[in-house]
Amino acid sequence: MPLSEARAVLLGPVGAGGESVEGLEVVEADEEADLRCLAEEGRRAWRFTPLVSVTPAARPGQVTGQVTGQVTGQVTGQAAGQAAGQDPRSRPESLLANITGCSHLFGDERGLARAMHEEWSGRGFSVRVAVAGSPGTAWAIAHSAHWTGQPWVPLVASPGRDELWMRRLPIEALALRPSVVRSLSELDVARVDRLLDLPAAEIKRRFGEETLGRIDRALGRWQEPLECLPMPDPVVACRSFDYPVSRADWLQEALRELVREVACGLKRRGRVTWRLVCRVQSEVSQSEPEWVEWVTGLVEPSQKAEHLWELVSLQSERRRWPAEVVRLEVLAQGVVVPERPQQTLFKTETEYEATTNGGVLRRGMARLVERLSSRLGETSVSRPVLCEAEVPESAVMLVRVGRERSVERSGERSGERSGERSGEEPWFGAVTRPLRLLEGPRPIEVMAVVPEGPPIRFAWESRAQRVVRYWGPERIETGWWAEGGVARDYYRVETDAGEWYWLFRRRGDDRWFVHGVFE
Amino acid sequence: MSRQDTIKDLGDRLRRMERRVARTEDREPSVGTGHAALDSVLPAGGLVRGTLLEWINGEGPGSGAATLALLSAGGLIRRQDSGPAGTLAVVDRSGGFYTAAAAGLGLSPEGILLVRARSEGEWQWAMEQVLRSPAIDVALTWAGSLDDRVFRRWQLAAELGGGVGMLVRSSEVMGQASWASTRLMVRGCVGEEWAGGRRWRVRVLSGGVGRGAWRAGYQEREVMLELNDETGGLRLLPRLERTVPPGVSATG
Repeated sequence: MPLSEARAVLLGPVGAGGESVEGLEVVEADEEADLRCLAEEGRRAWRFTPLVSVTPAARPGQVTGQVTGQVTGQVTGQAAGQAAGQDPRSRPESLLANITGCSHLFGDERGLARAMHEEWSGRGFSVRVAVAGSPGTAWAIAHSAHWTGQPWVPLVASPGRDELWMRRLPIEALALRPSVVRSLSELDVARVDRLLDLPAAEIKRRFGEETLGRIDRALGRWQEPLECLPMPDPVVACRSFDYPVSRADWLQEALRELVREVACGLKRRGRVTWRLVCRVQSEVSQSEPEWVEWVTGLVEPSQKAEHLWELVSLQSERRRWPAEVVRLEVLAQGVVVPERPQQTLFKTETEYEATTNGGVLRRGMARLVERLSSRLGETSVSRPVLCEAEVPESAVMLVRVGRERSVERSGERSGERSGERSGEEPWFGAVTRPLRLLEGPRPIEVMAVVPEGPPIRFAWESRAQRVVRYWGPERIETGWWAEGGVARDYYRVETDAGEWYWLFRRRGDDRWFVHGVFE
Repeated sequence: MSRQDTIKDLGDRLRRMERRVARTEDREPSVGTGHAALDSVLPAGGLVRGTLLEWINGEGPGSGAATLALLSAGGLIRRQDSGPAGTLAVVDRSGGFYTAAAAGLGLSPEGILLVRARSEGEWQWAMEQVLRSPAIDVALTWAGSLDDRVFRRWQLAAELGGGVGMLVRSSEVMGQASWASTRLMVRGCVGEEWAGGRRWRVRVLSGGVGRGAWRAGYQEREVMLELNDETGGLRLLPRLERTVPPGVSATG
């Protein structure tokens, strides 16, 4: 609605004193500002896919993406615009993203749609998310979401069902010219299926060829190219030496300067990075220079030079500089728009949880994990996830901190198959599993009174142990079809020294092993 | 001042410092472990943030000190009312910590952070970092012989971070100085007749300086605890229940 019309409806004629209506604030629509804001939000969407487009007209020199799987989010609220162009698709209010090949990172398309919804709704936007086979269909579903009765729930059209969805939508979902929509309403054509039942020649004759084109676009009948937001240039700093350098302190200082340059580059662009890659070129052999690469990952993206350098230097402590270094490079990867600054002086718990990867990481945890990972290696810091596996060694899966959610999502999807557990409720008693599981069962010599009977004595770590009580056997056996299957009879035993061990007899050859200690 | 006088003076100053710290400790609120039996054993009536605790296996590693350490950590790790759940960091050199067993003791794997250190230096550094972090509520590690300076650094780190450090150790360290506020010796009760669960004798030993150190007049004592396998509950046994002589029994 133009501003003059809005004034007339809400305030009466200009100068009639209508401006004094309490609580009413009139702001002139600024389509350029909306577009800038939308483009900024589009860059946030790089977290989900690199191919993101804002809907308005194409600008030259931009990348065109392949269209196979599409998601569109209609971001309204802070980014809503009032510009009413001839083509409703040109309003600066929607993001179109090609999610082909990205959804598995979030479990599936529903998981990705949910994550997108959380991304923007968590920051105060009213957002509608729809996934469909083409940009036109995704846009149509998102803009007609009120038809489903649950407009704020992410909607996903299953593959091949785009037209079924479209047929039930109101005619406005086709993004036709307003005059055509008015004419169709007068003819009592309110839903898409009514229009599609009309002969194409008739539609063309009455409403023009453009209308047919827009119907085809909405139904995904032609491959609509996306004009994606250009990816930023890589943030990189490098230093070449005139002569090969082998002194670690010099190289360390040069590396520090490069990290500082990269941090400045990030700051200039208003970006933060998820990881820094340090590449070291050495000239040990003249013919073939060698490259060594160190990657420093962050749990929360950052641009602070001191913080980045602390992590890089921690990692360099456990690395050995190659001899004869001729070139150093530091590259920021995973460069993203930072989270919005804190809005209140003290964050509430809910706000805090929402801004730290869904509440997985608490305050300070990210910094701790980054430091530990940098010094000890990424695989040295993990979180355990329980799995319902027969073999004790497979009952716990270790995942890198910050990736638990993706593991949980994939567990939700394939939970029946993999038997992954919620992690809350163990399926055994308090003292039936040992706190220390040996890295591979250790063979031991055991004395038993009867064959296949319980152990009476055994030797462990050069000490003779007399069993005074035992519990078992607990048979753990995998099917014959399972690869590397096991067949074991486990015993919890208490020794005369009051210690508890977890022993098993391997069925088949009756050999005994210690598998754990109840520490 | 003679050498003897200097030593006496330093000793007096140390005692004054310890008394002052102990008085501070009286005002430091303790956090319940979630097991009344354990709370009654601990000198402060629970865990005191910013302190180290030593759990000493009376015999070999299978005596169960780590099990009791984890049970006592539950009060800080489990979600209290609507508040956030705490985090337990396990700094492990061998990599054999079995989370499934910890889950059996009532600790959610979601609240556990596993840190694997491969060398002595890495392990000491990692434990200090973990203790220093305010994001960690309880840090657990297995420590054999420990350099006094490292031990002191850990104690200061725990004070800074505000968590509780738990060290599971062998009885070989009994003669060594300690910076832990509390030292507990754990021995399994042998061959007593009951269907399931596990029983221990826990002896609270004297010693320790710094926050959470002994309250004035606290005496060494020994109690018996029983962990019920089915309910996961821990209870304090009256003295009369520890009279059954050891012997071989088999329940299957």
